[in-house]
Amino acid sequence: MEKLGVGIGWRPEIDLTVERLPGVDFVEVVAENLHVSHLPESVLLLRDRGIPVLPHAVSLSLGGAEPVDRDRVAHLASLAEALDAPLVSDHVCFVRAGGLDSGHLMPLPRTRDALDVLVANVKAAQQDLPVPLALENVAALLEWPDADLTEGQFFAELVDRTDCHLLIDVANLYANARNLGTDVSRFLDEIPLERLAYVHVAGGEEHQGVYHDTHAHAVRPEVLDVLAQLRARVDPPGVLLERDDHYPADAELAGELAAIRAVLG
Amino acid sequence: MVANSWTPATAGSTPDPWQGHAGPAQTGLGLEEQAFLVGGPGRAAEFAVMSLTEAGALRISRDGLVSPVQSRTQPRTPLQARTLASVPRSLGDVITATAGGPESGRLRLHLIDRGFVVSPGRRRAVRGLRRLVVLAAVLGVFAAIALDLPFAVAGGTAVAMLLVAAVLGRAGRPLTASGRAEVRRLRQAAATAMTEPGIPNRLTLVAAYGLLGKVRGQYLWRILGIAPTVSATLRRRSRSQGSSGGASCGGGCGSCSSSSCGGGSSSDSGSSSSSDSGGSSCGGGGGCGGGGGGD
Repeated sequence: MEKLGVGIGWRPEIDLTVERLPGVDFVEVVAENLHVSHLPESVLLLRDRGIPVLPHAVSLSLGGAEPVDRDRVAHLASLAEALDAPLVSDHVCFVRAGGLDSGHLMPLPRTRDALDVLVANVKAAQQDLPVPLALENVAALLEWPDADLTEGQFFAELVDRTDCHLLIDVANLYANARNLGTDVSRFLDEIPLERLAYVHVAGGEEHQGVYHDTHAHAVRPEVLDVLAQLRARVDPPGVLLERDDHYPADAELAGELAAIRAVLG
Repeated sequence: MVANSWTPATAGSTPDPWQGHAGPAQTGLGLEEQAFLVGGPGRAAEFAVMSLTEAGALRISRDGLVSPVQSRTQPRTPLQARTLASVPRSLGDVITATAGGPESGRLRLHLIDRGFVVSPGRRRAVRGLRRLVVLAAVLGVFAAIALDLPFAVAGGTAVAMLLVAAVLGRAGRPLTASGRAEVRRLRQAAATAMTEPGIPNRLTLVAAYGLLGKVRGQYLWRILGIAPTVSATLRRRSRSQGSSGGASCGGGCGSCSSSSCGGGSSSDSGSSSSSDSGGSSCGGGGGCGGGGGGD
């Protein structure tokens, strides 16, 4: 996988910050927030600087029981081409069913039936995408019963059957470990790390005993510890800091990027 | 700590919540207050927004969206507090919201209390008297003609009354002599700031000229390094817009291009225009609602 380095999620509110932060090797944009016909000046500027801009989708609902929406895939594809993106990504989840939109990234039942549906949708999406697709683990507050596979096994089989790449969110992994008891080491041991495209790091907060992956708080040391566990197994091609709200000062964001670099060594 | 309880380091013996940034002279007025005197609520609002931005409490995106920076930065004035409560919005909208908030009205009253702005009641009274004097002069001329009085008597009376009207006109300006002196001080400080390498006193320029004001042929926003897409969210307003009702130099200029509202003739070299008339006079382009007047 192409070496990406250390990056940060581009958001309109912090566009100038992202542009001037030192050592930003790549950025990620939320695909649904952009229109190919009028891309933000800042995104184009970054692209023209040679900084990879990766579209990250949140609405393909690849784990949904319904066939994947080809218009959404087409939008992601056109965005990838407009941005010269080396890859695109979405999540292993579903976000709509029966005409209703959850507004959240909902976890999938880790059953073989659910995996079959996911694999079919991923393959359908891949056919219409001009670049590789990476898929991300989500943070969940519940687990469906009667799982056939662990989360790591689920991802490993997904990669094996679709040849997709992995986008591992260590903050989500930490959240699931905290809230659901997911075994971080086992997950990292079971997934095919050679298919790792890049890593997400984000902040969160604990509320009434539940850890919330808010993307609006500072990155916790525990999340960086999970990153360190991953780093002990593989040198990730890229690591990206996600921040979606309550944006801190430039210096604080720079400090979080520096902390990530320190873990990567 | 809240803005109303902030005690400025530069203030005198009386804590003054309006003095976020010390002005250029030892007058006891902060830059935000001086900005109000020069350009009204709109200018003071611009100053509040830009001072928070310079302090790192706000950030402005390429498209002009002003959003808060997550920090423990506390507002230093009530106007800054209003600004922080108004974001996220576009720069133009934040300025309008700040200028239109109750805090700008309280700032006006504060400046009236301190003797820098003439009260609306006094201005109305003076203007009414002036109209009466002008009317009396006109009637006097007609009466002199009708009564076949000597021309010297009629003409002399009319001229005298018109002189009285002119004096009353000056007395009806929105700023007091102290207020006009503050405006002159600020403009002098701004002119000096422009000669300093690197323009260290950026906020002085904002207070004196406004973001849409022109300094040495250039818009201030451009001098300050603000992107054109951001400045496009700023808007000029006519004097009648946003006024809190009545005379004076308007109430709510979103972003006024230049000086002044009764500031008196200025000594600055960079301001695009000034006015000594008590009304607004906007040299930077469209009309300007800013002003220090006293409604």
